[in-house]
Amino acid sequence: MSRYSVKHLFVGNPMFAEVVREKNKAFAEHNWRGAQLAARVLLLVIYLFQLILTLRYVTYVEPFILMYVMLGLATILIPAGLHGAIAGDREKRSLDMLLVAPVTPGQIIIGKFGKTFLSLMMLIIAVGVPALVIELVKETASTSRFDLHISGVVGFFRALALVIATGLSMGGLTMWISSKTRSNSGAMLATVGALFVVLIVIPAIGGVMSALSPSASELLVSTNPFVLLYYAYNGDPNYGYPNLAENHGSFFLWPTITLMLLLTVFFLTLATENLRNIARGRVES
Amino acid sequence: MLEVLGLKKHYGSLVAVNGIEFALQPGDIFGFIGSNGAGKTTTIKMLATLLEPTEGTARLNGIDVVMDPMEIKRRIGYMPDFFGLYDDVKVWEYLDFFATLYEVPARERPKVIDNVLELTDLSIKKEAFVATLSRGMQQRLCLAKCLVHDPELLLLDEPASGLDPRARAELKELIAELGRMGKIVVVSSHILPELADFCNTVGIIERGDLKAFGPVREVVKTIQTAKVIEIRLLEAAPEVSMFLHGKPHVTNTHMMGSTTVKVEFAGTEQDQAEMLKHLVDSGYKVTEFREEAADLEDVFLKVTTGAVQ
Repeated sequence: MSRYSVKHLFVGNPMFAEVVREKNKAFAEHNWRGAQLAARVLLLVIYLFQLILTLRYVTYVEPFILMYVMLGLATILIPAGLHGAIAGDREKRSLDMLLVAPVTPGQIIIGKFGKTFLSLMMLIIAVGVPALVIELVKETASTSRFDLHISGVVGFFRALALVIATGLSMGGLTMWISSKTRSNSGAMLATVGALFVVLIVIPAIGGVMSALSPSASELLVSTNPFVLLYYAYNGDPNYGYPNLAENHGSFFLWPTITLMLLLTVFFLTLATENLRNIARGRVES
Repeated sequence: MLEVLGLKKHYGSLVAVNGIEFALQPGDIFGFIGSNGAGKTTTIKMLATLLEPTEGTARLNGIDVVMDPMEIKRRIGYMPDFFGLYDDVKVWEYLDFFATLYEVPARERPKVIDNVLELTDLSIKKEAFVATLSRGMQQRLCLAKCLVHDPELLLLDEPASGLDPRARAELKELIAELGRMGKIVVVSSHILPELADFCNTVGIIERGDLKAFGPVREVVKTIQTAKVIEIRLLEAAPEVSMFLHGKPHVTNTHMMGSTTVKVEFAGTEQDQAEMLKHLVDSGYKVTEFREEAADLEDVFLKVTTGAVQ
């Protein structure tokens, strides 16, 4: 049936109205008053200040550092923005309203997941574009104050692909957690827990394992996006692991990106299945 | 037309809804009466496609709730008993979001939104944030949301709960108007006076069984075995109870103070007139003689045992 095809999730999915609703919410007048307004203005001033400094001292700044900022923000902002996607509706008791609308659970999940793309787009505009500008300036002027191997625009786009894949997989993981939890705070806690495991516990285990099994340790550590980003940008596979290039080399980047995209699909499928169970009353909404 | 065909819902050994059957026509306002836990919400959720029936089904104009839930969703409006609204958007933005979900063409949306806001008397709040609306207004906004796609069937689960008397009266008027527009409206409640005024059909459910169903008058008539006549006298006459006891068609009498007696009477109107004449001929000065109309509450209390699951 066509409504269960992949196409119906992306073409003519009415749940993309969720993005408009989020936009309306973000720019709602009552969100632009008092402390909220002050916080937003402060963030904008800080952003502009660092942007001006970066562009002023462009030769001192390595764009890959900005890509690290982007990756860090993606791993924080996307889960922070998405954790309440389903759990918030369950807590507020507004989920039933969506479930009786003529949209499939898959369309709801994809519609809500759309916020991930919004966050990524914002990050690309706020951090990625300045990084690219600096990269282009450096490439044109062939200047760098540091003794780093700069691989140029190609490296930038490799790193960007890694950031996007990381952001999407974080979004998928958060959507799955959100579909399993009934409150915003519960979803937030579970998401923080999951990020702690993925970003800290697993690499730490990798570090500990290095004495026992160096290659397994390398595998665990070097599939961590924060480790891979350096290689992705600079094409230097030896970061922290002298044998990395010989043993695995560039095999890590694209398989990791592919794995992340597959994980995104996997988590979104699980989230859709959870929502389908809620929609049919098998799990309480 | 809505046909409910042997709808059952079991949770393990617990029978929440036990094969209920009824049919409603366009314009019917159906009052679904039952205590808390009687099975009203479960039935409504099955009709709204939010719960899979264990057995049986329902059809709306020939479309099966179980076989084609997506098509049913396009034709129903559902208002849950407890609900939350997206409160950080404006009223029109909220309705626009749902109009989009219900595939109302973009060109028609502004007009549709204006129409439902007018119908629910919320036009003045179009630009207000949902969070600033009173409980009654939020209830009406939820109803407006149910109407953006012009549904054939409205399922309203306890729509008046938590409303003040004025908001309740406004909601009743609105539901009556929807009935006049030819929609089938299913309204559940355990507060009977809420339903008695504007429903033309009622169903009484207890422990998952539909105990009574039909037009309000017929249900009341079927259940009512004896009418109650209240007689008020000018002077105290405690013996009048004994006097009436044993008279033809009188099944029981109760003194209510020293001048009023209530008589359970099983005769016709002619027999009633005879009894009044007999009283007056016997020297009782009757100042009031009236039949107490049985209402839904009486019927409900007679039909149900008060048991919940």
